[in-house]
Order: sequence, then structure tokens, then C-alpha cells
Amino acid sequence: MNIENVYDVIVVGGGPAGLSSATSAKCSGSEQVLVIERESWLGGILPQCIHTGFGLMEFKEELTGPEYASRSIRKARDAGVSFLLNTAVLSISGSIDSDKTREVTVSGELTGIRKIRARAVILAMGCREKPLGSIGIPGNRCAGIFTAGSAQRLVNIEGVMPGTEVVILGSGDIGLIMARRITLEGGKVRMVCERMDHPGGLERNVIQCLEDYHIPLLLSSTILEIHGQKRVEAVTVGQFDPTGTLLPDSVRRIQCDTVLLSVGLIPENELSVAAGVRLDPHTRGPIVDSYMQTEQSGIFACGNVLKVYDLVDEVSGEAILAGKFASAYVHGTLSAMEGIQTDQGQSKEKEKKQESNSEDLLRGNQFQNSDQERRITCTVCPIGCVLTIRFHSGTKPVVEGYSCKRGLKYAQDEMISPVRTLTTCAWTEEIIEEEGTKKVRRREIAVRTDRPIPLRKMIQAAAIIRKYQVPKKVQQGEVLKRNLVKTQANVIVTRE
Amino acid sequence: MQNMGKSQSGYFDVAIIGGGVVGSLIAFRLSEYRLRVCLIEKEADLACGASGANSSIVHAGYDPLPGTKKAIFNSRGSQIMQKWCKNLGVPYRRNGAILLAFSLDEELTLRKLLQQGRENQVAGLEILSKEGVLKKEPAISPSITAGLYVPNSATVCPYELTFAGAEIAALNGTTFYFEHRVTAIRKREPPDSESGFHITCNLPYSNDPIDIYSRTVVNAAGVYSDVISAMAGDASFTILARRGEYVVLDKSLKGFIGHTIFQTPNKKGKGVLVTPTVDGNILVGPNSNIVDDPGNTATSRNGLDEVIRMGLKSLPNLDVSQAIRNFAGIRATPSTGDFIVGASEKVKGLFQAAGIESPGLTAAPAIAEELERQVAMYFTPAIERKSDYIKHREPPIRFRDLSGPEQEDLIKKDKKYSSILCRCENITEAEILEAIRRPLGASTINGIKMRTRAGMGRCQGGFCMPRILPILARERSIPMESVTISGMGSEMIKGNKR
Repeated sequence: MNIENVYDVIVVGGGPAGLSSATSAKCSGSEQVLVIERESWLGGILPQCIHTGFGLMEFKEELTGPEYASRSIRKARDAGVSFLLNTAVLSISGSIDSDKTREVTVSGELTGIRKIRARAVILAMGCREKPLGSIGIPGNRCAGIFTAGSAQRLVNIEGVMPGTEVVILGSGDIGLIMARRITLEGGKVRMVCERMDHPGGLERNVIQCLEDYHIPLLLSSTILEIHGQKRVEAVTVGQFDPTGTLLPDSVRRIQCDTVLLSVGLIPENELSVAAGVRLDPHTRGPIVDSYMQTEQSGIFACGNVLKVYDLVDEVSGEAILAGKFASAYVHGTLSAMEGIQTDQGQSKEKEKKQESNSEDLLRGNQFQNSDQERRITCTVCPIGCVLTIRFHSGTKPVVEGYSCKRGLKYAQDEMISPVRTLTTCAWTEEIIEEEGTKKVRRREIAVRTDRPIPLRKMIQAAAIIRKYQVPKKVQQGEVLKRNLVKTQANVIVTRE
Repeated sequence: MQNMGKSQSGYFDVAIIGGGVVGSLIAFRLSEYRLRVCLIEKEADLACGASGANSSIVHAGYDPLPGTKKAIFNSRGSQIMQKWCKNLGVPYRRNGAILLAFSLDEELTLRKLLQQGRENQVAGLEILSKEGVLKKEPAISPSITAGLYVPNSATVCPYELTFAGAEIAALNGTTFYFEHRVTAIRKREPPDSESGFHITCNLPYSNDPIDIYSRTVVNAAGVYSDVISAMAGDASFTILARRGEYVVLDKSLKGFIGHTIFQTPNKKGKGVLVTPTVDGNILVGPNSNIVDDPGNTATSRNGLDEVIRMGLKSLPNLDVSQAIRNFAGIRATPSTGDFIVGASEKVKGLFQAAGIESPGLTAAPAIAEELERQVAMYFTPAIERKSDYIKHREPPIRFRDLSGPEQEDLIKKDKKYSSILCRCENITEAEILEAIRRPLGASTINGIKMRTRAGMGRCQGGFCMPRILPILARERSIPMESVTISGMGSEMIKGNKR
């Protein structure tokens, strides 16, 4: 690949924010747009997010992470965006030169250490997980403690299980998703502890990942200590009253061999700070104006590097705007554009808290039948409509509160036999020649069912798929197996 | 550091028990002689005890009572450390220290320490006024009344020093036994056999004990040095295990302080210090609590709270929300009150390097010199140096510290330098591979972490650990399920999906 000396827009990071902002910048008239990604793949964290729940806003269709990534990549390629993989951005200059460009220093296999110039830079580095040390839990630092995201990589990419008996600290979305993932792979999730009095993740994940599998969620609780010399043997958990005082009677020891942490994400802004970009102490992302421009002129920011989002669709949506603004900056027309309202500084915790009051009321009603009515949260999409099913003797039950037809179908299914889309992994086996000898190379691929299957068959179906050995290369969208466990659902490949 | 193939019995002139900084540096010194030397370590790697978990300070030497072994080895160690570090390719930084007094009583103690320091030949000590202290370190609490300035205090990377000494020893022919727990030592006397010791070791992965025969034993077993000494027939002292807890703060606080900040020492020890490390983090700790189990390095809620509270006493604006990790180290406090160094008075052929608590890291090179002298003299005829041996260690490449052109050159030679695996510390794949492939290279995740710093940054391995795991498995030709954090029983992953 030919690398130019000057680009209109350089995007740092090839995840969802980077891809969408680059596509948008290119489509808004920037000639040369380059995405620099340090990994060997595009899509950021999406390839390991094999579950569904992506794309309802952006692609009007429910997709898995790898599928969402492929579509975003295709869009960017079709638009003519250039990519530089296996390349890390070492620094972004804090000053603009007389030719109105800024220096970006990269290090990569193809480039070596090289300086490239950009008229505008978009920061799209994403975020990282908070580690154990940052939350100050005492005890041993033995084997078996993982952040939820690294466990997700192990299970969904490397094809190994972090452990078999798991306690999860924090009910962030990744933690919830991993609770289900470990259950489907034959592990046992003993409990999810949440320090707040409401779940950290989306309601649909609480239902689909915990309640579906009867995994207890202990609110207002935390892990007080981790036990084990070489490997985690148990944790002590305890609950707090509303004033934050530990309830002595609630303290108990739970056997487990693994602790997963899902205690929050922090925007990854080392590069931004080194470039002289100031951060908002609350969001820990760059301070930006209504054009998503940081205090350094011509440096824009979007996605999780700016603030941590719940949904990738929101990230893409914001990134599209950042791409437009960056492109306008390059053309000198930024001030003529209409800016956006940023909700920076507004407490996300607060928003959640407000929602949670109504959720708390609901929590007790989940799946509990009363004679007259039952209330459930629709999990078809992240909106999470609250549906009320009213029973009248002698007539069909009436469903209220849905905002689309799928919501009605969901409520009807929940009454008879709940159904869910299964996402899990299978294996391909390829025979390769290495140093003259033939070896079998196993690779983990991600799959999903093409339609929902009965919830009660999920674990059985996942166990069957886990044993699939596909003796060839497969392609995204390919049907691996028809009529899985007599459900008429087909198993299709989502990640090659 | 798995032993290659099946472990075998061996015959040696010197068997060093304990792979901490003291044992490793003794091995380094003795490896220059025409001696068959082995080092026996119960853990899977070096520096798994106190050497891997301490304050990383090279103390100037004002603290120990004049005339004690602590005072002698501290002074000497402090003088030679910089040279040794240069020779061994280990980071060393003379950043100076300030001891703070918060009351008139404490000021009096500082004046006593000043006197004591001068008796111990510590240069440059100076009492500073409150203003003098705040001029040097503006972040220090305004409630102090005075300070003692110690220009010769330094920081060093304690585990890299341990690895470095052992690496040269290995290159010079020293045999290393890892995951070998000494369970018995029997004295052998003529005429049955050559005078010496029969050491029995247990392995975690085998029921068959391993026998090691050696003419002398050097006891550098840290918190277990009383047990080892008693096994060999000298029960003249005991060791108390004292746990010290620490909190590590993120590199984003780099520059907050330059000096090591102590509080005035009291009966319990040197108290909680706050120091920049050679790698740019800030370390706060330790407290001091006697524990029953010397192997228990768990931290506690109360302990961590105490450490943070005391750290904030010195530096009220220290941003403790930047904590990335906490850990505890166990210090070996001897019943004699002083280091136990040299030939045992009870058992011929047994040499002690026992009860090496603070200032043990500082004293380690001086203790190694002393044991080198005593052990070499023990044998008749006197042992000579080898005609050819390695003296100097080429430090591992630290890509992040190199200049742009140097980095470029390296990438041209090896593409793996362009692949950054640890994002927080900027550690490349090539550095990880070097850490595994060097003599006595890493065989565990912790081994890689301590040799390269991969996983020591603010994400604590969240990104790099899942990537290092398959690399280590591939390099060592073992399945991923067998990769451990710190030796058998600490397998990283449990349960196989396949």
C-alpha cells in the first residue's frame, strides 16, 4: 500500500467509531482519509462480541458484533477509505504547522517509524476496562481474576474457558453478557454482585443473560475479599444498606474458581493528553465543542474515547457527525455548519438512577403471574418497552405498551414458550503444512441461529454446536447446520 | 521457569537455597569461581518473595544502629549499588529522600538519625526547615515542622536486579532448580562420604523426591531461613513474618514528587513512605503487621486503608484514585534483631544470609560480596576464579526508552518490534519473546510481567494478557491450559471448551 505524506483526515483507531467517522469524512468530501489501527483487524472489540443486539438503529436489523463490524468495514471500503493495520500511533503533534497540517507519528510493520501529516485528526481510540487494583479489593492476586472483556476474548477468540465456577463483580453489560456466555459454554455463574442499588447494564441484558438462566443478581453488594493462594478458591461478599453501611448478616463466603470484573470502562486518552487535549474530569474524555472538536483545533473525538456509550449504534451515529465536522474543518466551512448539543458533563449515573426507580418496581413482577395482569420488559431491542399483558376470563389476553409488532410477538411468545436467538462458537479444522509436517489448525468461529429458538433448548443447543468441527474454511453468512435440535432454526456463521 | 525435561539429582560444591535478590547475587558472585554451584528455589521463578514485593529503596544508611551488621552492609551496599546496577544493566535512580517530622518529638528523632547517619558514614545529610522541605517538594503537607534531607537515597528495580544476577550466574554455569521445595537437609560426614549435605527436594508435579548433594549450603531462604537453618542443624534463631501492604499509583502522576518521602521512623519500622519508582509509578506503603503464615501475601481492607491514610498524611493532595494495584510483601524479621550473615557457628559448611529484612535490598550486593569471600576461603586448596567468565549483562531492549532512529533500526531488523502488545507500558511482542528466550527466561505470566512490565500498567493486563497467553504456550510448547501465573496450581485458565 502506498502511504501518502499528507492526508485530509487521519482517524486514530479502526473500531466502530473510527470506521463510521472515516466513512462519513470521505463521503463529506475529504479526499484522502486514513484509518490507523494497531491490531491486525478492523472493528475493534466487535469481533469478540458475538452476541446480538447491534445494528437496530444503524442498519435497522439485529446483528451480532462481527456482522456489525463487517458491514461498517464494507461501507468504509466502498467509500474509498484507506487503512493502515498493525500500526500504532505514537504521538499526535500539539501544534499546527504553517501548511495547516499536524504531524502524526506512527510505528508499524509496513511503515517502520514514520511521520504522516493530517489536516484534521479524529480520535477514536475507544476505552478500556477498569482493573481490580483500581477498585481496591483486598486479598490475594492469584490466578482466576479477569476483567469481563479479557474473559470474553479468551472464550470467543482463543477458545478457552477462564474458569468453571464464576462470581461476577459489577453488572455492566459485558459482565452480564459473559454470565450468559459462560453458562452456555457449560460453566456455572454463582452470582453477579452490583455495588449500586440498580443494575449497571441494560435491562434487556439483565433479563436475557441473568433471569433466563436463573443467575442471582445481588444489588447493593460487593466482593469484600478474594481468597485463594495460587488460584481463586472463594470470595466473601456482603450487602450494604441504603446508607452504605455493611450489613453484617449479609456477609458470606461463596466458593468459586474465577472472578470476572465488570466495574466500568475508562476512555483511553493517553494520546489525546500527550497532544495537549484537555479532558473533562467527569467523563474522562476530551472536552469538545458543538462540532466535537477538542480544544486543539482540527482534532476531533468520537465514540467511547469521548464518553462511554451503552450501544455501538450510538457510537456510529456520533462518529458520522464527527466525520462531517472534520471534513468541514478541512474545507474551512466548519463555522457555517450547525453544531450539536453535547450532553457532556451530564451524569450518566444520574440518568440511570432515574430510570431505575420504575425498574425497581418492575423487578419483583418479572415473570410473576398475577390473575389480572403481568408486566414484562421487551428485550427485542435496546429500547426496552414495558409491556403489560392483561388477562380477562374467557377472552384472549391483551398486550399493551409495545411500540412495534415485534413487541407484540415477544409478549405472545413469553406467555407460551419464550424464545431467544442463540449466539455461540464452533470450530473449523484446517490441515496446514508447517515445516514439512501436516498439522491441524483449529480456529474458533462465531455462529448464531437464524431465528429464535426455545429458551429451554439453549444450553443443549450450545453444547451441540460446541462439538461442531467444520473441516474447511467458512464464510460469514454460510449455513453450518439446518434444523438445529428440531427447532427449524439454521446455524449460520457470523465470524469466519 | 520450568526445568527442562526431568529434574535430576546433582552434586555441587555450593547449594544456595532461595532465589531472592540475596541468593541471586550470591550465585552471581560465586559463578566466577571454579565451583559447581546450584540455586534451589521453591517457586517457579526468581524474586517471588520479598524481593518482588518491597519498597524498592536503596537506603542511604542513617537508620541502623552503628556497629550492627545492618549498618555495615547497608553502608557498603548503598555505596556499591550504583556500580553493580550499571554492570548488571538494571535501572537505578538516585532521587534522594526526605524524612518528615510532624512534631517536636519527631524533630528530635530526626536529629538523632542525623548523628547516627554520620556515624554510619552517610554523606550529605542535612536538617531542613519546613520551608526548606516545601521548597524541594511543594506537595508535602504544610503540617510538617522540619525534615531530614538524604541526598544519597536511591531507587532500584528489585526484581530486575534479581533476574540480572541470576542470568549471569546461569551463563557462567550455575544450575537453577525451580519449583523444588527443600524438605530435608542431612549432614554427611566422612568416612561414609565426602563431608557435605544431602538436600531432599519435593516437586509439585511429581511424587519422587529429588536428591541434591553439596559440600556447602548457603541459606538465603528469606522468611523460611529459620526453617532451612534448623533443617541443616542450626536452630539458633527464628524468623517472624511481617507483612507490609502497598498501593501502586498510575504513571499519570509522574512528576508529583521527585524524592522518596519518609515519615519519622518509630518502633514499628520506617513507616509508610511515598516514592516514585524507577519506572515512573508512585508507590505508597508499607504498613507492618506480624502474620502467622509467611506465604500469605493477601492484602486487607484495614491495611490498605491504613497505608492510604498514612500516605495522605505526608502528601494530602496525593491522588489515590489513581491506584492501579495493591500488593503485600512478607519481610523476614530475625529474632536476633540483626542480619545473620556468614558461616554458621553450629554447622560447618553452612553459611547464612538470613533474616534479611529492610534494608535488605540495599545490603544485598554487600552481603553477596561477604559470602563470596567466606565461601571461597572455606575450601582447601583455595578456589580460584575461572579463566573466562561473564561479568557484564547486556540489559534487555526497552523499546519505549529508545530514540526514534534507534527504534526504526530495530523494526527494520525485527518486525516484531512494531507490534505493541502491552498498550499501557508500550511493550512490543519482540520484548515479550526476548523475556521468554533469554537465559532463565520467563515461563509464567508473572515472569513476563516482571521482566518486561507487560501487564503492569493501568489496565493491569486486561488487553495484553489474553494475547501473551498463546505466545507463552507456543514458545514453551505447552497447551494454553498449562500456562500459569506463578507456577503449578496457578493455571491461568481452567476448563477447556474443546
